[in-house]
Amino acid sequence: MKKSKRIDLRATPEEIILLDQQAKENGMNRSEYIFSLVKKDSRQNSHELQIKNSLIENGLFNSLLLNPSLSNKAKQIIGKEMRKYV
Amino acid sequence: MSDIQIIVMEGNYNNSEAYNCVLGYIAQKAYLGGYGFRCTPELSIIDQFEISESLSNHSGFRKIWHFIITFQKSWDHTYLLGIGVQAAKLFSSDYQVLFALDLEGAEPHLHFGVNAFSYHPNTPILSEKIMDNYLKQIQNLLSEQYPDMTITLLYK
Repeated sequence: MKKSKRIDLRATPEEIILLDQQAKENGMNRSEYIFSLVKKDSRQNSHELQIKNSLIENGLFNSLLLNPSLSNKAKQIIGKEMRKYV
Repeated sequence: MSDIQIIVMEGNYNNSEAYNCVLGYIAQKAYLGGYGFRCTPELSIIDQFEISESLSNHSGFRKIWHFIITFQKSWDHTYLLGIGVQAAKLFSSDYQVLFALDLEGAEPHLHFGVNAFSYHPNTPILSEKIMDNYLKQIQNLLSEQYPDMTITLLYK
């Protein structure tokens, strides 16, 4: 197990009460609860960013579907390739 | 009967298999497109929809919306795919969507699977009211493009 370090946090008495209530409700101590939120926030940001970035790739695939120079057969092959990832 | 029908499929979209069932079904169709996912071996498209749900700061019962757009006569595939891309793009800034052109049956039709959970954790879930607004936008879009046709919105 990695050695942990102590950090100081400033909080009002009300914030401390709220923190303790929420941590207890989730079966965690203060540190565990705070870092569970930090990790969740990190996962949310990462997923959101990945999906946002995927919109460009999706736009490219979708534009191929609309390209009149491509045959219907070719467009179906694109679908076949995409199906592998569903 | 209307020339174009937008039909919202009612079913059990609350259970753990909902993403698998709807996206798996749509993916079997001839042509595929959509927004809000990467094609990568590390994480399937279904996984990417599920992650949006698990990381959302909102809760709800419905996981996914499934609707179709049907056409009375045979249209050129590229036109239909154009409608598919336009409709999917409406959702793309907030919700993931997979669509397909289905050539099975009497006439070609488009299927859409839209994640009820946004990939933005703080964006509300795609409620019935919000979904109805999106579907009316699609209906208006089609009415503008095809003014001589009747376009209806149905909930089945």
